[in-house]
Amino acid sequence: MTEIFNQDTLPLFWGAIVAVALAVYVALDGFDLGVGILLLTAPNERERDVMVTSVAPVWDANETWLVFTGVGLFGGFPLAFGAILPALYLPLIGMLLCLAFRGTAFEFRFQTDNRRAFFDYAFCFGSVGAAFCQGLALGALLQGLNVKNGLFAGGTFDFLSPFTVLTGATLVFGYALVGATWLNWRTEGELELRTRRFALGLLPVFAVLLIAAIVSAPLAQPRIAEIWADATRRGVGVSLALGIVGGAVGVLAWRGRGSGRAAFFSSIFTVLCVVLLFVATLFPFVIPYEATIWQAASPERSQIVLLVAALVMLPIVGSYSAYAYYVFRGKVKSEAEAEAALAEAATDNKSSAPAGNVL
Amino acid sequence: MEIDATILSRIQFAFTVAFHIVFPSMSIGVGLFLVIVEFLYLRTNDELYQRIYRFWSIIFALGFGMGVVSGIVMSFQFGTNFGRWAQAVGPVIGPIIGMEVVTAFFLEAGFLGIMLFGWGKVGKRLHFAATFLVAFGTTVSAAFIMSANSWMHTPAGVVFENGRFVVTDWLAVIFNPSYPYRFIHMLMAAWITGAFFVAGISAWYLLKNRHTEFARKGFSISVGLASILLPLQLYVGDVLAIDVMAVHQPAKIQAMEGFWETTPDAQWNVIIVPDQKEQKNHVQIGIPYLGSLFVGKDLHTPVPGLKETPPAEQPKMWIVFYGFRIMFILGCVMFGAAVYSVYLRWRGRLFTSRAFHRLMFWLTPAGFVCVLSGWITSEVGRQPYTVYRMLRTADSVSPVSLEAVATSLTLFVVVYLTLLAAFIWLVVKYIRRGPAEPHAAAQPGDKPEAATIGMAWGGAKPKAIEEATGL
Repeated sequence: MTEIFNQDTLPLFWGAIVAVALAVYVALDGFDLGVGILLLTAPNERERDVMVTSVAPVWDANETWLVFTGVGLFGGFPLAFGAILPALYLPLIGMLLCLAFRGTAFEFRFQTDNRRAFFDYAFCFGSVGAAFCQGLALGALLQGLNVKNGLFAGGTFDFLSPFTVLTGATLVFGYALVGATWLNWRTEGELELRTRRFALGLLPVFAVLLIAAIVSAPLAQPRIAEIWADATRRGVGVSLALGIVGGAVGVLAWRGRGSGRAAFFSSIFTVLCVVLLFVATLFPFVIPYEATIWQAASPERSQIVLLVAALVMLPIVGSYSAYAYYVFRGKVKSEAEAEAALAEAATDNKSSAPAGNVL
Repeated sequence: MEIDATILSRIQFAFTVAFHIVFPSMSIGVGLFLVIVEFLYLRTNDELYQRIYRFWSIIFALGFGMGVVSGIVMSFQFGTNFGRWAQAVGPVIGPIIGMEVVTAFFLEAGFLGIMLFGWGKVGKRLHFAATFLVAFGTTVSAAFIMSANSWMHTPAGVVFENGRFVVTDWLAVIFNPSYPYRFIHMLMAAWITGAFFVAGISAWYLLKNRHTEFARKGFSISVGLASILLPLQLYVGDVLAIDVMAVHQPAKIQAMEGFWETTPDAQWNVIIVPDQKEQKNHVQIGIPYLGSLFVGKDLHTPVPGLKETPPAEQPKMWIVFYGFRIMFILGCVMFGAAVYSVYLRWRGRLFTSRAFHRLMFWLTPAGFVCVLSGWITSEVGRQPYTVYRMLRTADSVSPVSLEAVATSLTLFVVVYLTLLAAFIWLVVKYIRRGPAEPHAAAQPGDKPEAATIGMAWGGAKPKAIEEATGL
């Protein structure tokens, strides 16, 4: 058993987990940031309440995958963690501050009536800002980092270029798309109709931006063309590209009929494939294009602890996370409808036998 | 002192971590209170406990959110501003925090939704399980982070080679010499902080003669909790300082006591004006013999002076000294209040002594002040090292420009102070409004209660109304 885990394979295993964590983060926080991005498109407070309520019980757990990705780099590839984060200083600081506005706005907005609009702005701009900064960071990684001897050796604005602004915009629209399909699935009435139109409208915009980003990547960084010259990688790339297109077709085929569930999962599938395409471009580098996962890896004893902890705990985490989504399944009603349900339950229970403690 | 990226990074880290620690302290403390209250609700079915729970869970949620967003900042700041430290300690601290994430963070986040929004969607016992798991998650979180932080103070189980720490013994790393004491000390500090916070606000309602039944119950539970914990905390603090840190980090204890020369028959310094350059105090006022008494438990034991440590290894005395004095003196005041509360309870005057209620009201933030000054003592006392005697702060910072850090520091200060202002404004507003009265009809403009939000998802049939809302 211990022969599987050695200096050559551990970085692969742990690298795979970090890559999966990144993909899961982008998919999960993607849709709740997407809801935030779309928040101000709702014409009234009631609809905004419904939008926020739809993600209120799950946003924190979704965002925790970002911490897991970062800490996974910190513990598993510390050379990379300490080199990459200074290189992406301003976008990461920007992301953290935007997430601070977004996260607090969740709790704060329910505590006030006349100031709620202020928190709505914080929520929306925080979400857009966080998404854009994340996109800048991913683009900067594709561009490559100026890292010498394991230390960032470049300038404060190295991360900023037309290419990274493009990847920033791409991610914003990608999140908006999954946010729209989520809202369509989970809401009713006007909101359901509006987000249906948004989803179908955002998809082509996202597609154009994504294709532009993919096409201009080798221009921004010639090494990307060399990397993709390899046949095996091409095979993986084509499969992922098919996945992306398949997901898009899933959203289009739905065309607004029936349950939005299939469209939501199709859009999530597309986003997952995009992240994996990103990982496939950079592999085996973890500091692009200076150090591989083997060069940046922690000593074995550290990676094993991480791996065991993750392999034991992540299935458990997955189970209770899925349970939480199950508890909060179904369409989100507006406050008035919720109160009506409350009143109905009251009359129901007065006439029926006591329900007893249902676990 | 010249302004460079290093000092700005240190200031930024100090500011952001000080801001952060306030909120987990409240979450851990109020979390324990909520577990106790909901347990009592399940046992007695008394609707009063449900009202207490519902009221305090909103404040808990507000603070928890602040803790989450400021916490994410910390895990990334290790890399952005202290990248060289991160590369060196990653193999050690990374896996510890990794374990914290997959156990505690996901657990808290996963069940927080059910705790806050799940009334009416899950049964009473499952809801209590959610509350318990969230509170348990905060405790597990403290357990892991205190291990990582303690390792920085008393590193063990590692060798330093090729620019990084390599673990030779994981048990020695995790259970490093100062860990058990610092963990218990912090955990109890958080519980005490939460208790005084709840007690102080309850005392305000008692003084205003509002929601008396609600306030009395909350006051009784929180004050009772404080009176059990405070004597233990003083004991643990003493052991931590004298038996553990004096051995492993003597410079910190030397700076803490405020003497430059080792002094027998020592007073307990209360006011000093130290001069680090001259290595002496211009002013030194204290209580006779108490210094030796604290350190050696007799009147003559010499208190070690900071000159026993070479100047290049010395932390800044004025910060460590006053940090500790503030924490300790305020801690003694809190201890006094706790002892007095036991006396009052015995005499049946716990709910009627207005003087005591006024005292507790003013002590509402006392726990937070102690936590902050204690942490300042701890972390500044470790300087000039990040990993004690193994990695210096000067070798820990990231190669980022002065302009970049100046920008981020400014942004953090502006954003955090804005969020803090909003937080305080909302909490004060919420406390002023007070808990919902029992069996009150819903007024127009009432905030969506947790039960209503729980009803907002159409997936499951609403549970029995008594279970769901306690109305």
